[in-house]
Amino acid sequence: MNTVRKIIISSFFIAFLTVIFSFKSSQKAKVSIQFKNYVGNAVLQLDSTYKNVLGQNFIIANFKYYIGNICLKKADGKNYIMQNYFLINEYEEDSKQITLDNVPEGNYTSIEFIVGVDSLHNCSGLQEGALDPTNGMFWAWNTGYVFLKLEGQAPASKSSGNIFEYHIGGYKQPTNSTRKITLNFKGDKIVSAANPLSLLIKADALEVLKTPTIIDFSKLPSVTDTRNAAIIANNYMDMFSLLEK
Amino acid sequence: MKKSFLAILFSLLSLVLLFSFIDNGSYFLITKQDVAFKKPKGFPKPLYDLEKNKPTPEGFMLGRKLFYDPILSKDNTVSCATCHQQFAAFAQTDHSFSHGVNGLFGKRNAPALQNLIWRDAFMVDGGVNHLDLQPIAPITNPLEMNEDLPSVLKKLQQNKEYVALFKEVYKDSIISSNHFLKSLSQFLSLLISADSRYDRYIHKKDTLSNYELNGLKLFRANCASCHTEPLFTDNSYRSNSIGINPVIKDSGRFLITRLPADLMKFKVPSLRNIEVSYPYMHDGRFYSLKQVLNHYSKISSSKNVIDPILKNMPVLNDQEQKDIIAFLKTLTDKAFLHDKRFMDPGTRIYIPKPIVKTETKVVPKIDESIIAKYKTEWESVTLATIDGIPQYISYMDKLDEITQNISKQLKKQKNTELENLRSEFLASKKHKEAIKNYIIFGQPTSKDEIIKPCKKQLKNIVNETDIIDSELKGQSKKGWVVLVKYNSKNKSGNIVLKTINFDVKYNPIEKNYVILKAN
Repeated sequence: MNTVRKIIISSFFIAFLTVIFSFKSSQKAKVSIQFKNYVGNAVLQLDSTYKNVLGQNFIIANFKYYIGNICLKKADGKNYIMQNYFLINEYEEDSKQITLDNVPEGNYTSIEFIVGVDSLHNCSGLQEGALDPTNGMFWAWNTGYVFLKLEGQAPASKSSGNIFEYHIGGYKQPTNSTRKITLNFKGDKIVSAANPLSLLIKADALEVLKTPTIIDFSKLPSVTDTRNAAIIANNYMDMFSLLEK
Repeated sequence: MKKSFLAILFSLLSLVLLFSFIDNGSYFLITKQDVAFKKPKGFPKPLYDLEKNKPTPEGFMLGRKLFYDPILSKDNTVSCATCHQQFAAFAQTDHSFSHGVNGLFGKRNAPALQNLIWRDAFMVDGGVNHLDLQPIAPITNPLEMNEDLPSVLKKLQQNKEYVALFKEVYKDSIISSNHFLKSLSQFLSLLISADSRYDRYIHKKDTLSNYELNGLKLFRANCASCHTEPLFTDNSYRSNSIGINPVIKDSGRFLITRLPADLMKFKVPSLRNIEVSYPYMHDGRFYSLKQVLNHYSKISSSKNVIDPILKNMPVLNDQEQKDIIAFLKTLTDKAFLHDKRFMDPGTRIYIPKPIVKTETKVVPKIDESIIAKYKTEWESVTLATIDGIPQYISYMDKLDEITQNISKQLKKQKNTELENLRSEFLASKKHKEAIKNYIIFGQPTSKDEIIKPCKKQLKNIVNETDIIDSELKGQSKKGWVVLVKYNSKNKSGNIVLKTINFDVKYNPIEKNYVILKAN
């Protein structure tokens, strides 16, 4: 009698635990990612004057870029991948905030994403949302998205109005301008429904003009097709870093 | 006398003829069969996925209207059809370069638009990789339509007719870039040319002359490796060594790939309807097929031939050239060039209406008593008042219920008397006034709801304790009249009782009450 009761109680207990655990493992956590644009160590202010490493003055009038294929990496290799695209636009505060609602709980080690738009989305016709061709980031004469736009004025630029403009795109080899960015967390981030993760990513516009190639406004004031795009694309590879919140 | 009589008779007759022609406006209406895709015999599978954007009669007509509408250009002067004319297989006859906005010239010869769903890329340099995205190029080109996409969408959104049409097709009155471009594709995807004399010869429905047959033989031996049947292009990019145009300096495919090997390469065009789509080459430099044949005939002796396939091109004698040209003319597809489906729908306002089949069935007359019943019901509905507040909503609900009952009855039995009764009710003073009154007075749950904003406003001037009394006095033409009494100090410091009148109106959008006037 006693053993029967024990068995019943313990089986109930096991069932209870299973329910709890299965419930727990299916819990989804929220991850919010905020992009903040900088020029060097200063927060980007449109129309403020900055200096590049050559000492040339410049102001930024427009700064936009595509972020896509966001991947949150776990040590056990069970990564979370999201295939949507986001257009980060300096002019629109809302565009800088990305919220991922259904991230499985776990210990995450790093975040990966691409700057740009992968070839699939460049080749399959009409797209909607962030990739709508009306967003001003689309080349009509040579199909494809502009991945990053950095425009402004620099007295050193000899083009009319002292304008500089970098429209970087191209998904076809050999001028594929998409770049994969990996940002490692300082130690694992334990993410759960009760403990959502919020990341602050610094995007430094000055890096677009700096390493590995220093951009001289007087020599290269404009890149608007796949010529020279690789130079700028290699430069924006290191423009992102994690800021501790 | 007799002459003038004849003249009148003649002009009357011509008027009758004219009207009978206009009245025969069947090409305005496109049926499901008109937009059903039938793969031409012998053609490969289309590269464009029609399942993802299947043409419907309404979608096709919307796309056609857009194609012929200059609203797509910056100054509303240039439409797609300006440079793509049906009689020239949707190329532009006799223009090396077409005119864009402000009298500017484009930099390339407008290509024929046909069999587009078998194309893997568009433009002579293959820069555009999808049919749905192609129209953006001419729309945004500063030398062509010089517009931008958001501005086109805005103009369409401001046009009531387009809003109605887009809503009809996509069940969405917001005109998106997707719906705009998909409509154009629905029109463009059906521009199929596959019914030339050549096609009918291949399918053994027609014969060709000996010259034409000899031309076909020569064509297959010397031209078909690039202009491959049945599409008459292999969709490749090649240099035919015509040399760079010194004015426009177009380097072709190189502009897209930036590969030196692609310098001066251009897409091999289809030769269907070649007779009517002159001038030829990417810059329209040759005005006759004779010139084209002459160029290829001399090509093997030229020093700067790049494409190896052209190095073996034989020198063709005069008769051989004539025969090839005779054959090329069999590629003219008159059915395509005169297809009514593709014609300009005209400036007439087209309002989509389902095609109503005329039924010969005799509709039984409706019982007079039913009509009478509805009429008594309608008349007996009265506006109730609770605590001085007229009950507009329940009043309108009752009126609605009656018209809805008629609609239900109408579905079961088509009857003009019922239909008339319904529209009579909807247009009646009773119905219109109920709506008007509701907009002015709203449906407050209590008098307080109307008085509250008045008190609130008064609190800005006097203490709450000084408000003595408030009363809903009634209705004026403009809205509710509210009377509030309050104590106020006059100049000499004595307290006097003052009254203030408020006109209060219901705001049906915000769903609250607003003060129109206070005195």
